[in-house]
Amino acid sequence: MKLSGPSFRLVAAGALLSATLAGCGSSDDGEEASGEPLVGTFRLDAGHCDAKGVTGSYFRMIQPGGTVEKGGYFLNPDSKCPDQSYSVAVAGTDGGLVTGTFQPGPKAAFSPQGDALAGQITRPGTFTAIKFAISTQSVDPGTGEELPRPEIRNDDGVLSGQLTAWTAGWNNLYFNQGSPKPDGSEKGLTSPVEGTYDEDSGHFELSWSSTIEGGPFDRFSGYWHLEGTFVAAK
Amino acid sequence: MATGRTSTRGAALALALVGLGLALAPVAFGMFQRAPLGAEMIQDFAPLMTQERLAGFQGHLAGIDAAVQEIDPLVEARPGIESPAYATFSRDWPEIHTTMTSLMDQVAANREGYDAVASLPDFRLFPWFFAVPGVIILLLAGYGAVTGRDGWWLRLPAAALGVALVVLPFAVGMFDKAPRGAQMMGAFQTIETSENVARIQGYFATMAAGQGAIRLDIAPELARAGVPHPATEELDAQWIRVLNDMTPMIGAMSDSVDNYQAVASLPSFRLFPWFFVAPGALLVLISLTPRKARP
Repeated sequence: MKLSGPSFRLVAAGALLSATLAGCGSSDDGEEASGEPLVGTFRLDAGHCDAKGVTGSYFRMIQPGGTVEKGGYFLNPDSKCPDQSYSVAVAGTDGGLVTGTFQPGPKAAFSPQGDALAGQITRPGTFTAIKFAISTQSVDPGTGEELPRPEIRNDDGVLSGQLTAWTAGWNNLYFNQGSPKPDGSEKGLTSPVEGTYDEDSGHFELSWSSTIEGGPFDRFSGYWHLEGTFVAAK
Repeated sequence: MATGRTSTRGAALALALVGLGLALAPVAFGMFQRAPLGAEMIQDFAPLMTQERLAGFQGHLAGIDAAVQEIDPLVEARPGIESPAYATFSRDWPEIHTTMTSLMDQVAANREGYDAVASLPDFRLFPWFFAVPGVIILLLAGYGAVTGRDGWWLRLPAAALGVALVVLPFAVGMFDKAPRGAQMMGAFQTIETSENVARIQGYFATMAAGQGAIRLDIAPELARAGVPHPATEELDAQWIRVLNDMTPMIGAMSDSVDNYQAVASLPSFRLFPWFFVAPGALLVLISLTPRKARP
């Protein structure tokens, strides 16, 4: 079908408008996203804890009604920390979090006993006798929604971004632990991903919290702290 | 002529009113929104509401209790074996045990009620059981009322739909199942609340921490001291299964709070068979009234 002059102009104007609107809606270029994207691997320093406190990468689980700062926390009996509200993390086979892509873990995500098997980002840790593991999923296992690739941006040493696809697996169940949540919201204690970055050393710190929606841990929240060295993709 | 038309309009008007009532009832009760939530709730509980699974939950609680009863005197007799996490768990366990056992008793006692409701036609279909015949009758009878016409084209479908509405609750055993479903809904009233689910989630956290203390602190100490502790060993051996079983149950309870509230806000299940029979019988009766001959 050949387009006449006015029809062509209409289509062209529509295409231009669509492109403009698409540009406005993109998280890459909007006002909210600032700084340059850091694409590569956020290599994790292993978590370490003693009587003085915790360093490196770790996770805490907060009970409903609690706060990130004060708890109450779900104590993980399998944590070796003096304060068992901390579960330390150790880098997995990819060395840590990779931005710009997904790290979904194996197809068979759980053992018959419910141990989570994903080991790219962190090594599976034990949480009340069952292994839990982290992956970044392209589709939310709970809702079936498509999720964006992890993205971290650096604005003069200040990190921000979205880790919506950050997913914990445990006992044959998945828990979205991303921020913002898959529907774009920051419900409950969910807080933006933020942190710091030293361009000279590559040292970074990232943290956020994310409230679970639905399931046995409905309204529980996870607080995540990742620390290590960023290595840009070649 | 006008008198004749008016005389034939009576049945059509009456049928149209019944049709309108049927069509509007699911809208008025919010069934289009609530019935699918009920279906979801039934689905969520399906894997858990078997005799075997429910007996398993009770067995798990009994197993934990046996371990606590075994450990408490052993720990008391050996001050060297201590664990703050276990002490907290041991202190809280009587309340947890009583509440959880009572809850599981309640759930188990209503398993047959659940089965009865689950064996009814899919909840999602219920609003359509009223809306579809209602709209058909409303259209036919409305046409008859406006044009003043009456005939088999109106009365036959109305009677057939009336018979279908009367027969349906008998065919699916609704008179037997609906009251049992109502009883189950009554029993779940205290279970399916946000407060109760939060309490059970808290119990779960305490139990997980307590079992961890048993598994990682107490049991190894007892083993080193050569003290037999068979109930504790059994709990440790079964703990993964306990988690595998109890976590989905808490998940189903948590996910069903809103769904339960939606279903509970519908009229009582006991009335449901009558919601079919009453309008169905009316349709049949109106359809069977003799037609007035046109002058």
